[in-house]
Amino acid sequence: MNDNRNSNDMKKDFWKSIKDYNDDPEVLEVKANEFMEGVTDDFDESKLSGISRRKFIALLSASTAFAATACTDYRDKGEIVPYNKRPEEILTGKANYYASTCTGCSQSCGILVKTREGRPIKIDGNPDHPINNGKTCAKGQASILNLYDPERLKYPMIQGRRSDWKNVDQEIISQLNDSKKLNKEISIVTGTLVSPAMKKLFDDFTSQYPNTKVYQIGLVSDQIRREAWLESYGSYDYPAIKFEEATIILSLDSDFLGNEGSFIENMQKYTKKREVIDKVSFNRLYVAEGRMSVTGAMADYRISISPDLQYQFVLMLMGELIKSGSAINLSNDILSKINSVSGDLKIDKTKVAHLLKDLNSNRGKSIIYAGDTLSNDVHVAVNLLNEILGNTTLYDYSSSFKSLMHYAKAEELSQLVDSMNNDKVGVVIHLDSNPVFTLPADFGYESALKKVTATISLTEAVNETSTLCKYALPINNQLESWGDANYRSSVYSLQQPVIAPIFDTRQKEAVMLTWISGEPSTYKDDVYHKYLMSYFNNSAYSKRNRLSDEKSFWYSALHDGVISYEEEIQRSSFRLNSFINTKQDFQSNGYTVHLTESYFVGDGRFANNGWLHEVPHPINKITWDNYASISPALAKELNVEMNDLIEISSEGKTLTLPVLVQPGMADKTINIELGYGRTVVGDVGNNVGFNAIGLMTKNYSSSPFVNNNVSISKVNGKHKLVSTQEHHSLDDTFVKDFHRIRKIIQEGTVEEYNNDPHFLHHEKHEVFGITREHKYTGVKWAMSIDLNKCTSCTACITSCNVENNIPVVGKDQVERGREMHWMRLDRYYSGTPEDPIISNQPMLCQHCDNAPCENVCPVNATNHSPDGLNQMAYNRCVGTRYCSNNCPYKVRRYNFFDFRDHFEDEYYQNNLTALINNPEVTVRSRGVMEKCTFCVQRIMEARSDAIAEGRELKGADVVTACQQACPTNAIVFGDANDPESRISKLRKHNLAYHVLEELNIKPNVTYIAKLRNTHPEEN
Amino acid sequence: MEIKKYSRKSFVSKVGKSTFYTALASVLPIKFLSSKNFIRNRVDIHIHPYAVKRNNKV
Amino acid sequence: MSVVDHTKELSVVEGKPALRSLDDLISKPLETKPDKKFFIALSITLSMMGLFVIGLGLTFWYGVGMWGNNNPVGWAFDIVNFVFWVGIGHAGTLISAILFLFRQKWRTGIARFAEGMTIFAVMTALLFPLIHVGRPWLDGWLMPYPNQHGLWVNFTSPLLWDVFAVSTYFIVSLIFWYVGLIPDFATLRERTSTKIKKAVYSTFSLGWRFSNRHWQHYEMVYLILAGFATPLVLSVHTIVSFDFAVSILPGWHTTIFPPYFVAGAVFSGFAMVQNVLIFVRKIFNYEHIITLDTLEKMNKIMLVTGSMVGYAYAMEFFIAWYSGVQPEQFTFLNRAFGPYAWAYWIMVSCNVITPQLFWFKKIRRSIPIMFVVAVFVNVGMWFERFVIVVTSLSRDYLPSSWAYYTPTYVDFMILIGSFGFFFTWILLFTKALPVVSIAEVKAVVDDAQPSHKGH
Repeated sequence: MNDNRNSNDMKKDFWKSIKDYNDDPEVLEVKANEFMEGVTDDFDESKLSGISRRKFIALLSASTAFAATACTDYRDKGEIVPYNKRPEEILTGKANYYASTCTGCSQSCGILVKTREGRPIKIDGNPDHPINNGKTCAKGQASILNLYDPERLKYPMIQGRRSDWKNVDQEIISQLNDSKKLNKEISIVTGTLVSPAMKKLFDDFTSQYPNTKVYQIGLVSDQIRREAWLESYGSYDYPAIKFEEATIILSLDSDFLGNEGSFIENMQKYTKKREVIDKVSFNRLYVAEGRMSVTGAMADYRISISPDLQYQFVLMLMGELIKSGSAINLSNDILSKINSVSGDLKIDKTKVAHLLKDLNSNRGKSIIYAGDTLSNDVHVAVNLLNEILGNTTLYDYSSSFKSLMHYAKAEELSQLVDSMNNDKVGVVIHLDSNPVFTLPADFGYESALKKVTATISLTEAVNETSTLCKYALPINNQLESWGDANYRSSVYSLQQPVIAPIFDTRQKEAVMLTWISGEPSTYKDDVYHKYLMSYFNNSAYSKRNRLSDEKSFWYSALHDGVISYEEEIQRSSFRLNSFINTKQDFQSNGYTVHLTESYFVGDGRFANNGWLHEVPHPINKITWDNYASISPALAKELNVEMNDLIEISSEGKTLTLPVLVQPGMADKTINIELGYGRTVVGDVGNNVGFNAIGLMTKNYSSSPFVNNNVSISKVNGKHKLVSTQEHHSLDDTFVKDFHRIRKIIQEGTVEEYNNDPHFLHHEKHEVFGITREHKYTGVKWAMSIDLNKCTSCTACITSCNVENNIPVVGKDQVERGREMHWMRLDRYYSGTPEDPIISNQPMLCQHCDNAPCENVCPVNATNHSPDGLNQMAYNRCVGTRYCSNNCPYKVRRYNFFDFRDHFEDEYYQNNLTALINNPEVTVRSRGVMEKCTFCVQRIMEARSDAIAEGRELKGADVVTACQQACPTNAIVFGDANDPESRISKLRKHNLAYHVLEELNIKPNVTYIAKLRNTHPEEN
Repeated sequence: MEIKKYSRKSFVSKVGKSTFYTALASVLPIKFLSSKNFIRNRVDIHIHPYAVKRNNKV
Repeated sequence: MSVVDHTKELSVVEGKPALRSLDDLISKPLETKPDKKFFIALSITLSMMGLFVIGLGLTFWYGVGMWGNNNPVGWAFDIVNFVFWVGIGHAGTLISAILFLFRQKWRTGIARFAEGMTIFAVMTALLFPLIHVGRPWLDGWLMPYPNQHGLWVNFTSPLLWDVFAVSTYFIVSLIFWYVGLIPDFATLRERTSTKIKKAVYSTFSLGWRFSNRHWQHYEMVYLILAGFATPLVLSVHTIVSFDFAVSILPGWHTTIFPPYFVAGAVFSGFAMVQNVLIFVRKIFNYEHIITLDTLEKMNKIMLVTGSMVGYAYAMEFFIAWYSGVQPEQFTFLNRAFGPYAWAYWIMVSCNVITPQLFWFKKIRRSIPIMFVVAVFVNVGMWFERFVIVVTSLSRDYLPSSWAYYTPTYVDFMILIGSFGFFFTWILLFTKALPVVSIAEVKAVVDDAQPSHKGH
């Protein structure tokens, strides 16, 4: 401290030495130059930093604090905020189920929607519904993804620009009123109408706007069948078939087990007579078809015949069978007509002989069933043939296929187009229909549509029609909608929403109600709910003996989802004239194109659904594409092989698409699936496949789907078809029949089994192990799959995909073999390329007791649980892929990329689609191996329920996703240690075998060998 | 008149100080501006008020 | 050539050079600045290594999906490269350790270089298990470290044994190599002029005084380490072969793999060593140290191991047929006649046919021909691993899961890059350390050892 006082005044108060005290000049000098020479030259107080030590430390800590806030964990995905006020219906962690109706196709199966925390995550069948009995098809399973499609329309649009409902309603109402005044037609183009309430709505609409005309269209529907039935029996409604009572079934190009009509119901009925478990009860299936369908693959005898020759075929059968009598009186006209058809059909004579013999000896217990795509003439002829054989006992009139209105005929649609072109149509309303895509081009619908002033499309997602319409109005997804369905007599089912509309969408019926009222402000969210309820009270309520009041009945109906009531459609007798009017198809010596509905994309409505594109075709395992299926002989003739392009032309229309060589196809038949090649659907589905509707015409001679006026030629270029299985020619002896040699597929005939039930196990040898085996006390999970009942419908795989958050990987990754399906359907060919035998086998993790994957994982990420499951710890897996290498079944799937990231530039990585994930199943990261877990999340849930209720866990408490979805109950799952359980009995069945048993890895999935019901004298 | 000496030391210290303060001041603005890239589109879902659930197997 | 006197052993070092001149000759590359040729070579290997870095970068960023691996071919280039590089490493240890125990003096000229190659090959090989996993940031989990979960690795897994074997191999080889370098570091320390070099060499030479006691200890340690390293030559590649032999896949599940792989490893290792040595001896003028006789002896070893490999091929086929197991029989037929037949026949022609040329002395002693043969051998050995890994996976038990594997450009970048990585280290090695063991070579010059002859 400097002493400012004059040092001379007094002796200082502070001094360090005597010298200092005495103010020695030496000391003073030293003090003045306290620091070394020159060191303090630069010292200038004004130049000192303004930051004091204190301030510096304060800044330091503040900046650290800021830096800390800037840090976010890259894994931070946001917050999970629990309910502040929990809604009454929701118990966090417990699912709620709601009964509803599926609108994926017109069959209107009853569904149960599983919701978690307010959002639907799975669709399964409603066990109370008498038609589908708790089962859904693959499309129904995957349709839930449409609710969460990020490209859904979210708000109404006028001329492609965003608008709001008030504007839209106002404009449209004025347009409707204008049309009414000017006497112009108001056309409503709708898909198949199954909802009686909506029918009433149409009636109300028509009374408000008298010039309304409703046109019902469908790309592939039962229109031809109905029109034929109308001619034959005078009714547009036709009965269901009691397949479960049929001993002999002849299918003519009818994929009744695969994709046609009520195929889920058909599968259940059919497999009632393919029983080997509790008793042996077999029907015999003959399939006469041009293409290779799922039903054809199931056939005991398959006859290859081109679809345009079916009429001759039926008449030939008729001619032979009436020799032994007829249940219906046939006039001479009929007889001469039957005999007038001639020509060598060039089909397998032995099989036809068997067929005739069987049909003859099973009159009244057999059924001949024609496919939806065949011509009217064939259907009428088949109706007569069934009458002749007395098979009408198998017609179930109590469960008929009803119709609320007729399908529009081609002439009506042509007239509509003319009216549109001549300014006679004021308003066109498209209700969930896409005629610009689904109508054949020569209708000229697209150009006609552009001439109409007010074009409206009420649709869930953008499509080819909505982009051309002035008004594109978004409607609720099926899970957000009210509705009802009366597609089958005696069954009335209800559709209820399980989630409030996510976006600014409206129920399509509610929109129309607003237009009926003429005032946009009358719209309320529940306007259709009320309408439906009042319709229900006036109709269904009165049809039943009711013991309760209206409101309770309504609630219990919604609870159950379906009401059964007595109704039988009137039977009538066959009109012989209908047969007189039939004629032979124009016979071609060339090629025939047969167009059929896609198995998974439907009429194109599921074209933006990644799951449905990625699930492989049941027969040829192709994904993400359609193609021209041709026989090996035709391929040789044209000198093409798979992936080569061919051009098909018919009356000026051409289509270029790749070839798929399909063993078993009729030689000159080309089969193409419809529903592909959409151009306006979304990032996932745009330009996937080839649009074969271009080969259809409104001026067809017999059937719009069978065109025998085509020419084909090879063109340059290739289009890579991506398949999940390698394709080998059946002639390639290098790799032929391995599935038989290696006993992967073991099959027999009914005759063999009846003679010797143990025939499968004669050649088995003893396999012994040298290590100590684990004892499994308590529950031991096992599964069995009955190959007699599996048709490759692929519902199991789709259900597994939804349940276990399986990502979509896209075409390029499937090409590399990286599809992520935990379960797959293997398809093996044996026999000859002209007449192959197809064997299906669902393959999933076998949960081996001696699992080869478990002891090779270096980090112990996969191990065995005490209840017999092979477990996978995703968070421990580093991803060496050794386990997959060592798995002989190759059921393990590796996340080569983060597929949610990788597919279509993060298409499914958004906040909307993320809601579909099942919260009980981990979403796996990149680099991690995954596989079927036997739905361990369901096992754990059942176990915790059992613990909470203080009881033992029973095997029957757990239903895996695949088991739940399998329409024929081919999959059985349960506790192998429970001697009472079905599974333990199946494991000991005579026909039970394991795949690759000799490796001694002790798989826990038992397969029940398939028996084919061939004629005994053949063996 | 003394010409102010502009030594290397003072240059470095100036640069260092200015980077430090810029970094400090920019943490929050960068966070704010880059938040647009992490678009968090909240999707509001509600149970439908009139849905009738069935959880009993009856 | 004059008549060879078979009563006397061939001179290991030709010409009886002065011991001092050997010092000068071997230290010369370390004391001179690198010349243009070196930089050209280095730039080539560095750019190859650059491909490696880019390939790895893409893999880490996007995922293993950047490679061609798929279901069922879970392992392809990654494991093929791993086995290939580990195999190459075996030559060095055999030369250093086994030939030492067999008292083959001719190893002295090549031991240092070969052992160095081993270390670099093992380093390259070690990279592959680390990068082929799907989540490489969790590679640490492959090591058994104590943790609070009580979670250990799976000791029954061959990949784990790999981890132990290859890391043991690396550590032991490194120690062995280093111990051998100690006298040479001391020599260099004595010769050096710059301060830094002196400090480095002094540290690494551990205070070597050339005293008798030091030499005694050195010899003993060297002998013990040689003893340690010898079983490694056999066991490491045996364990690597267990990756395949312990699995149940046809084509992998066979007991012939351990000796077959070890023979193959020595085979390919010697081929690579021979290739590089031909360059080294020319560039550095070591032709009288790494003599043609040495090369000839190496070729003889290649002939022996190549024949063993050829025998193993034949035996595999025979046993597959004899077993009567259809998947096994098909696997081998598929290798020869299936979609990968091209790889199979490259492998057979390079591995079985070409080394048989070494029966002829003229070929054994002709540098250009033996170089080409060794290149073919390396190519063939790479394809052998490819055939084993990829064809067996591509078509295994269930025909429904068969698929063809095609490598991607990233696979090739990593393959080429691994060579770049390896050769970069070798180039740097030639400039940093003596590539021939000074002490050992001096010891085997004619009349270097005191003897009682002529007294």
